[in-house]
Amino acid sequence: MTFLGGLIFLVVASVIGRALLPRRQHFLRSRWEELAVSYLLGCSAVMVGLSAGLALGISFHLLFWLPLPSALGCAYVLWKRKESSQDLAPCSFSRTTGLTLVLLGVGAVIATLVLPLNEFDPIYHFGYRGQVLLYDGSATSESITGMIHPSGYGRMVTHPNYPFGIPILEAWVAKIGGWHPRWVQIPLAFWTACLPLVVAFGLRPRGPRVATVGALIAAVTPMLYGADFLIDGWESLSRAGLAGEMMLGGGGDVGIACLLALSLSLWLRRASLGGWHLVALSALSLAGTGQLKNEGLGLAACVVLALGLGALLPKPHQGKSQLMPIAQLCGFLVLMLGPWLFLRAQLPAIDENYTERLTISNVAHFWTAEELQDRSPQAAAGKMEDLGVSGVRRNLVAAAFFAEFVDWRSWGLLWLLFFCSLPVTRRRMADVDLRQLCLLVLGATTLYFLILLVTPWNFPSLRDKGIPERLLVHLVGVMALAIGTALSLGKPDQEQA
Amino acid sequence: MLLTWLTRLHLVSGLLVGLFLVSAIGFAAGDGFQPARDRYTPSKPLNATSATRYITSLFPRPAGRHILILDSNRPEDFSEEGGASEYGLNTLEQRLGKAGMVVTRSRGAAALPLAKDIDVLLLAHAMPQYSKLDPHELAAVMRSPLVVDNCGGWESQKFDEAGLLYLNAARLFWPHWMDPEMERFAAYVRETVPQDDGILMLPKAHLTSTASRARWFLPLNVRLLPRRLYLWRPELGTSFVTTYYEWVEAYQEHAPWKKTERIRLKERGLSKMLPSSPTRTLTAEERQAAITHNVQWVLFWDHQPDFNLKDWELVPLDEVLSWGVGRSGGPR
Repeated sequence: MTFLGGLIFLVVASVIGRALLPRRQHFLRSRWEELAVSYLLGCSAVMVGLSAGLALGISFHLLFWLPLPSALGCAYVLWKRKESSQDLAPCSFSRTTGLTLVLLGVGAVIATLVLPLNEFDPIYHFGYRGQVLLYDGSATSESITGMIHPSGYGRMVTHPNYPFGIPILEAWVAKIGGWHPRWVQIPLAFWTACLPLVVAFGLRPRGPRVATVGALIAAVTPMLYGADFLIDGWESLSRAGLAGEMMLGGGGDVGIACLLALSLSLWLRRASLGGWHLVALSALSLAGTGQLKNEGLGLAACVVLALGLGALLPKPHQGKSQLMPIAQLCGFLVLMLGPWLFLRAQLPAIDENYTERLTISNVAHFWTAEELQDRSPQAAAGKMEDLGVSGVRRNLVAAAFFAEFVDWRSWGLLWLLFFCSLPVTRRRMADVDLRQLCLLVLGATTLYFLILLVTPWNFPSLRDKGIPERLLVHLVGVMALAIGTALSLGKPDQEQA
Repeated sequence: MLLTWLTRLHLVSGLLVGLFLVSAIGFAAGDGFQPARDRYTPSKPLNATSATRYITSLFPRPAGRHILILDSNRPEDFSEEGGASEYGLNTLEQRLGKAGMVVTRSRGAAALPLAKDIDVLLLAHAMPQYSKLDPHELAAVMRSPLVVDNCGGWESQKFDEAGLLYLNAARLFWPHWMDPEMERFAAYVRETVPQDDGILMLPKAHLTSTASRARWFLPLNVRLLPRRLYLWRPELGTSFVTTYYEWVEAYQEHAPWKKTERIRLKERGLSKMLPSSPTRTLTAEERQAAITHNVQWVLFWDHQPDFNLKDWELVPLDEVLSWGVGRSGGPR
């Protein structure tokens, strides 16, 4: 029954998402693009809507029903629209590319579901919350907020102020057939399959070849599936999908990459429709990233800044001002993220409280400070002889970022491609889209660098746990969009739609 | 031009992705679509020095005690460096001999005849004939009920049922939530404790391990939902691993167990190891916490990196309160 619940969720989210999209006649997309974009928008809408309900104190047991009549209403709207498949745009991909994407996508879905929840973050950060919603029906029950108590004894919860996006999806599926650690992952199994299609959707105005290349660039990036594969040679084969390096499924990082890419894709395509509709959808998608992990809020701020700066920089080819859509985006974001921020304020912030931690004085201190060796597991265990690398924190973090940029096992040549796509020529500089995409990637990378610079933990031990690669994966989709945009500027006559 | 060529090169990484997906799906299918422990890094045995110290510490006077080392006769089992190598086992044999212990090595031979009247059994290589040993038969022939697993080749539950004290000395690398005995114990608690009840988790005594996998309260907290579990200072115990070390240190300093009396149970809930019960009386603070949080049960545990049924005991609060406060409590 839980499996059935997962399938029902896929349908519900897709129907809601598709009804949110403008009509096919007015807004071109292929069948595959529509499926991916609709599903992700539906997921975002469910997460944002139900999270707002939880913030208002409505029980999850009641909120569970909300998507069902919504989906019925949306199905009615779609029926009234009387859209036919002839209204869909032709697929950008050749048969070979389409087959490759289908194989990789289906493989990613199966690889996610072949094992039940089997990693620290998916079990403790999200699976626990999902079960709390399922049993308690509240995000502010003692199971989440009862950690600190005057008695000295309290409830156990990891990162208590983490958002409820993934738990909402898991609990919704479990509500139909009970908690099943394999099938509650169904809504999360499609992130990696959707991302290349979202990139193709965003790059559609740049031409079919660019859309195809952008989708392929994203789809073949190993980091979307797992990090450091084959790092221990062929022995790693037998551990594929087991270790903490697994990116597929319940961890939330690839989900952020998808929704962030979708938000930017919708933003890039808003000009084709005009008005505020696509801006609102872009904000919805961005609000969805805020529901997945704490980093989503930081990324939302980065998006607003990057869009603003990208629009304000000198414009050789004057176009329509972007300030109004950016203001609209901010307005929608405040509306959609407001309930979660209200809810978050009621949750204990015992760690990962980087909004307080990221101050100028902290950055200035750690810029020159030595690594916190006394905060390492080895020091705490009294094994001073086993202490790892030491040195200035800034250099350690920078070295880790550089190591990721050149780690072909995790990224292929994605970072090199991105750096080669930076708007350093006059022609590229004139492209506002490219400026905004590149500013976002650089800004988010800088933000993650600063967060790791001021982290209260020992950085080498964070490195052992897959940091910063698990943060940088958030940017895969946006990087693919930027690379595709830069590629489209190389041969304008052939590639412009 | 450069971008186009780099893009083509990048697309080659699709082969790596394909290999990853085929491996992940294929190996999972081969293991019945469940994570299998043997796909993780193998257990790491104690080296000769640590193993000697560990084994001799089991007896007040080790001299004259008999130990049987269950090792292999296949050269490939000795190929790894460390505690299970030929050199490592020879050194262990010599050092235990120097301590006055009588050492026998099985070298692949049948274990039962050799186990007669021995005081401690050490598993060095998990050969099939040793992994499948019947603990009841072993218990019938051994003089002392001590079993040391130095390669992670045995499950403690079967030894517990046979009344043998199982000690795991090997370092394990598979995730702690995959421990079958933890799962067994969680199932027992789910059967015993109604869903609306609360459970106060209290360590028996000093937290002797700082290993992060000893945080059994984390998987139990998830497995036992919607039952309410309470821990001392969970904001430290459940956070990042270095904060968990702070929790261990703070608990050692707080040391409520110092003010309590050990209780030896006449009957245990799941484990059959009566002398190893982790039960004790409660301090006034612990009693107050139990009342404040409206808990109905106390879950005592011995803080160890390997989940061992003998280290865990679930007792109704009323029964624990009947033992008295601090050192004034009486035996069960």
